[in-house]
Formats: sequence, C-alpha cells, structure tokens
Amino acid sequence: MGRLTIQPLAVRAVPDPNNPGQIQVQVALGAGAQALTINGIVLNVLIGVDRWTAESLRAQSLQVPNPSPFSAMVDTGASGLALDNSIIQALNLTRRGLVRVHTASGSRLANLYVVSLSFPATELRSYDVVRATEVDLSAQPFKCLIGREIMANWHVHYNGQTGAISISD
Amino acid sequence: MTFEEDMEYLNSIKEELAKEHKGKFVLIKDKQNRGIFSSFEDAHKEALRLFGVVDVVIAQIGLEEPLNYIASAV
Repeated sequence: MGRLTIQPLAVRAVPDPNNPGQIQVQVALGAGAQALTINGIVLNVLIGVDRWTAESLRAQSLQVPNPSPFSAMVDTGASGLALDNSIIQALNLTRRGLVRVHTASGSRLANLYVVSLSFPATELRSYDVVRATEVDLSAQPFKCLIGREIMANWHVHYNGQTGAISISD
Repeated sequence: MTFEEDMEYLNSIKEELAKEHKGKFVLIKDKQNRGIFSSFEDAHKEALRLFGVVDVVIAQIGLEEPLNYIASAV
C-alpha cells in the first residue's frame, strides 16, 4: 500500500513595516487552496514503454527509451489514461488499435497505445502494462490525464479548504 | 499493409467474429486474423512475439464500444 500527500505551503514577500526598503516573507494563508482550485490535482509521473515492449526491444538489441517525467492531472471526467501526442512521439509508441472517445468537442476515434506508468518519490503502485488513449493536451500545462481506470485502485482525499491532497492505494 | 487497412479489415469481419468469439480480443496484422485471445494483454504480448514493435490492431469482439469519456480534452 502506498500513500502520497501533498500539503501545499505558499509564501509571499511583503514590505517589512519595521525595516523600510526590506521585504518580509510570510506564509500565504489560503494560497494552497487557491492553487488547488486553479490547477486541480497535478502529479509528477514517469511514463515509459510497457514491460513487454521493453523486453521485445531488448531481445532485438534495440534501445529501450527511458521512462520520462511528465505532469499529469487526476481527472475524474476521464475513463482511462490519456496521453498527449508529445509523449507518444517521445517514446516512439506503436498503435494497438482505435477507440472512440467522447470529448467536450464531440466524438472521434483515437489511437490506442500501451505504456508503463509510475509515480516517482511515492510508494503508490506502478503499472507495467496499461492502455492509454491519445488526446490533444498541447494547450494544457499537463500532458497526461489519469482517469478512473487508475483511480479505481485509489483512495483520494481532496481538501478544497486547505489545498491538501492525499492519495493511497 | 497499413494500420488503416487493418482497421478496415477488422470492420469487414467483426460481425462474423462476434458469432463465436463475443467478448474476446482479436489481433489483426496485414489484413489477417492472427488469433483470438482472452485478454487485451495476451493479444499485445503475442503481437510483440510475432511482429516485434510495430503497429497492430487489437480489438474486443462483439461488445458495445466502451465509453471513453475525456472531459478535459477538446
């Protein structure tokens, strides 16, 4: 069982009333909650080729791409893992079919891939082989959506008042 | 053969496959049915064994397409 806790601590610089021309660093109460409201739950993840693809590449004496770090948003509105095209290009992933996806702009077919997913610096369970759908997140600060297929293994506590998040599995 | 041709081939045979293999997974490459599998993962492993790291089509047979809803994407 793993656990990840994010307890935001924000500070701000303000003029020091006792020392003109100097600044004072203060804890910014409420800033963590504000950040959570604006950004949502954003985690650092490592995404790589899946275990069996890695074995196949090694068997052919081909280079296995190292897992790469990306920002991922936990999205209860997504049914499964979804990746921006930049990740697919970086890992040189091969397609495993097409799936129909429903987004805010309508329904369309999207490429299906298989990847590995892990959560560095946490004890949350890693996934050696997980299906992922291609989506366009080019305009977003995160490049991956973690949907309900992964969340099905989690207990998530979201404190919107303090900005604290904890995830355990 | 291209990935798109393999998708077309899947569409041409999926009704026939559904008569005997509903719920299972078919692996298609070069417009040929390469096997029926109990899980997506098994089909993926077999695709790697047969063809290496290339595009293939793996599809579940005869079930309604699962709802893949992605609220954050446009």
